[in-house]
Amino acid sequence: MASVLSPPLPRTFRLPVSGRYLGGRLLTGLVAVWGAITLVFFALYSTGNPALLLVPPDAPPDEVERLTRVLGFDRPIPEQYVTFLGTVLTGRFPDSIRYGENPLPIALEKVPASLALGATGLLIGTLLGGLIGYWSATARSSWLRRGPLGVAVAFESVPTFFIGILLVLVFAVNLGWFPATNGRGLPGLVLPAVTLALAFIPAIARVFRTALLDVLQAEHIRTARAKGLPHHLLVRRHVVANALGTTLNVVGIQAGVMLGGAVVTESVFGWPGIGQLSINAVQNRDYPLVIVCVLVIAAGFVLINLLVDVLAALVEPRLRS
Amino acid sequence: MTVVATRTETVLDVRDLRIGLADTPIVHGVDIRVPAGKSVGLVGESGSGKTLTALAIAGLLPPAITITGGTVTLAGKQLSAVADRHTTEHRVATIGVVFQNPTPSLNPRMRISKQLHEALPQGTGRREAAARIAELLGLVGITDIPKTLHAFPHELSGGLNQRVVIAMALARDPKLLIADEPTTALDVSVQAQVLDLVDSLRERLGLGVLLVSHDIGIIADRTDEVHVMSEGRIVESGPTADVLRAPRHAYTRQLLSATPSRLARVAPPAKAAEAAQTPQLTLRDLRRSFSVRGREGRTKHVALDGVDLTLHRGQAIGLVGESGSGKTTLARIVVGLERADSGEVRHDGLELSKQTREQRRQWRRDVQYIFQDPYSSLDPRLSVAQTLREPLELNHRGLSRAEVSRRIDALLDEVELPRDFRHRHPSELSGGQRQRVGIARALASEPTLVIADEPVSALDLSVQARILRLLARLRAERDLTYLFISHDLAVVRYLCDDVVVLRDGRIVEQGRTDDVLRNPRDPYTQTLVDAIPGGSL
Repeated sequence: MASVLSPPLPRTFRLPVSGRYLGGRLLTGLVAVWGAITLVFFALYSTGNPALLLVPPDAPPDEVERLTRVLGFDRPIPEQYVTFLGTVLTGRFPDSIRYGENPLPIALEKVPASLALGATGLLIGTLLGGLIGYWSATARSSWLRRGPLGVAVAFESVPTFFIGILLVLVFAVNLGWFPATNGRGLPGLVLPAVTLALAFIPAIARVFRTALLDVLQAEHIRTARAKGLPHHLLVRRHVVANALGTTLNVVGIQAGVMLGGAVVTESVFGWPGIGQLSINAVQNRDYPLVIVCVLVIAAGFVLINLLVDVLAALVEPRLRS
Repeated sequence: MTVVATRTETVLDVRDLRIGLADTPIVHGVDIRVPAGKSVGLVGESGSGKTLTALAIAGLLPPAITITGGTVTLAGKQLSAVADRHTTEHRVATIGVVFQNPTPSLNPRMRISKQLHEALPQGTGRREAAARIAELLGLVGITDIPKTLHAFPHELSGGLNQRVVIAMALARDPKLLIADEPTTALDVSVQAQVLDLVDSLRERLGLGVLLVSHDIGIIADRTDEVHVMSEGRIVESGPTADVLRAPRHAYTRQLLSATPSRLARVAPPAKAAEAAQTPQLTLRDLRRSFSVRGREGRTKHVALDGVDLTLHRGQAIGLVGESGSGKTTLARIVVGLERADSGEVRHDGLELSKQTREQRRQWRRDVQYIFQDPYSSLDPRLSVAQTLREPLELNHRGLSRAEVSRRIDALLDEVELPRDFRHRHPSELSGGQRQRVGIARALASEPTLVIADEPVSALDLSVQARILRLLARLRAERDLTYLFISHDLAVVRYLCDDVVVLRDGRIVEQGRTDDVLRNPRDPYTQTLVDAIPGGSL
C-alpha cells in the first residue's frame, strides 16, 4: 500500500534520529561508563589497601607489601587513577589474578551467553507484560482485567533468587522438564529466562496498560471509529501503535534492571555469563576482572538504552523533528 | 416533479432521540431533520447535550453512554438502537464527521496518506485509492498534495489538518456531514476559510450538514435552520433568520444577548482619561526570535520584530493577532517570563533589567497575569482559599491569620463567588468559576497592570459575557490597566479603548478600537474584521 501511496517525493534515506542526537546520547553514555568504573575504582580504596583484599587473611606482611608494590598500590592515588584510566583506554588491563591474563577477552567471551539469556528474558517479559497490560486495559471480563496483573504484581514482590529456586524445585527437580543448573543450550535457557522475565513483567504491564488507556481516550480514536475500520485494524494501527512509545522507554530502563538481576539469576542457575563471572571474580578477589566486568556491563547498559532511543524515535514520529 | 423530490430529500430524520448514562437521562427527546443540500445548526452551551446528540447520530458515543429511545433515520433507512454490523456499515457509508480539534483528531504516528487511504471504502484498489486521495485533497483546497500526503499531522497547521479531516469525512461520499465545533480551535481567518469550504462542498455535493456549535455568530452566518438546545432539550427550532430575529424562548434571548458584539459597553472610567497621561508600560523596539529545528534544519523564527508600545495608566489595550503573530511572546516578556533579545521594557519609567531587588519585588506585585485555560492554570491540589492565601502572605509579610482570611472573603466577594467556595478544589468548580478564582488570585497582589491572555476564549458565551462584565467592573473600581490579548475582535471592542493589531511580530495597525474596527486601514486588519462571525446577526 505504502509504495503506491507514497507521494513522488525524492525518498532519501534518513536516520530516524539525527546524528547530533545520537552523538549526544553516546557522549552521555560514555560519561555513565566512566562514572561506573570510577566508582568501583574508589570503592576499592575506601576499604584501605586493596592488596589486603587480594591476599588470604593469614598472609605474611612482607607478602602484602610485595603485592602492594607489584600492583602499584603504593603510588599516590591520583597517579594510580590516571594509570587506571590509561589501562581502560588502551584495553591493556592488569592481568587477572585468577586467570593470569588480560581480563578483557575473558569477560567478552561470556557476553554472548549473557546476551542470549537477557534477550530471551526481555522478549518473554515484553510479550507477556504487553499481553497482560493489554488485557487489563481492554478485556471485557473483569477477571481477565484484574487477575493476570494481580498475579504478576505478586511475583514482582518476591526476590528474583527465590523465584529462581522455586522454579528449579518445581520444573527441574519435581517435574524434570528442564535441567536444574549448569544447563546449556535451549533447555537450559528456559528457567533462567523465565525468572528474569517475571521480574519485569509487572512494570511493562502497568505502563502499557496506562498508555493504552490514554490512547483509548484520544480524539483520533474517534476519528478512526468514524472511518468504520475493522476492529483488529483499529486496535493495531491506532491504539497499540500509539501506546508503544512510552512502553519502549520503560523496556529500556528495565533492561538495565535486568542486567543487575542477571548477576543473581546467572549464579542461581549456573549460567555461564558475565553475571556469574563477576560474582566469581568478587569471590576470588580478582580485582582487575571485577573492574572489567563492571565496564562491560555498564557499556552494555548504555548500548541497550541507545538502541531503545532509536527504536522509540522509529515508532514515535514526533520525536524525530 | 423529480427535481422537487430531490430537493426535499431528507438525509437525516431524528425523532424523539433519548440518550442516557446508565439510568440518568442526559438528552430528553430531540427531533432534528436535515434535508439534502441544507445546513442545520445545533446551538447550545457546554452541557446542553448537543455534542452527545451529534455523536449518537454518528454512532460514536463513549461506551458508558447509550441511546435509550427514539429513532434515527439515515438516508431513508431507520437505524436500530443497538449498533449491529449493518447499522455500522450504513452509518459509515452515509455520515462524514468533522471534529473540534483537528490535530489531535489525527493519528500522530501515521502519515496523512495512510490515514486517508483508511478512510476510503474497504477494499479500494491501490491505483484507484491514489487517484481518489488526490481528488479529495484537491476538493478541500489543499494545493501542495505530495508534501501533505507525506507529512505527519504534527508537521501541518491546524487549518490544514482540519482540511485533511474534512477530506477524510468526504472519502466515502457521505450524504450527511456532521461538524462538531469544526472551527473552535482555529484562528478567526482560518475559521472563515474552513466554514466557506464546508459551504461550498455542501452546494457542490448536495450534502446535508449538521453544524454543532456554541457560537451563535457562526450559526447565524452558516445555517438555514437552527435548533437551540439547553439541558438536553431543544427549546426552540425554526429558520435561522427568524429564530435569531425574533427569539421566542428565554434561553435563545439569553444566548443572543451574551454574544460579544451585542454586549452593552460600559463607558471607560472617567479617571482613565486624566490618568492616561502617565505612561505605565513602555516597550521600545522589542525583538525576540527562536531557532526552530525542522525538516530543513535549523531556521530562525522571528516572534517579535521591533515592537514599540506605550500603555498609559488606566488604559485598556487589546492586543489582536493570530497564532504565531507574537502576541503571547510579547505578554510573556512584559511579565518577565521571557527575555527580549534586544529592546527595552520600562515599567513605571524603570527599565526591567536595571531594577533593584526591592523594585523588582514591587514590579512582580504590580504586574499580574490571567491565563487562558482556567483548567490547567490552577493547582488541582490546592483549595480556593489556599490558592488565594499564597500571594496574600507572600506580598504582605506579617498579616495575621484572621486578616488573611478576611481578605480572602473580600476577594471572593469582589469576583462574585460565594464565600463558602473557599474550601472547594478546582475539580469542584465550573470553567467560569475557575476563571474567577484565577482573577481573584491576580487581584490578591493588588496589581496596577493586568495582562490577560485570552481569558474568556475557553468559556461558554453566557459565562464569557459575565466574566467580561466582571473585568470591566474591576477595571473601573481598581483603576486597573489592561493589556488584553484576544483573537476575538468583538471581545476586544467590548473591553478595550484601544487596539493593537500584531502580525508576524510587527504592529500593523493601532488606534481607538471603534475607529480601527470601523475603518481598518491595513488589509490584514480588514480580513480580521471581515472574518468576525455573526455578520448576519
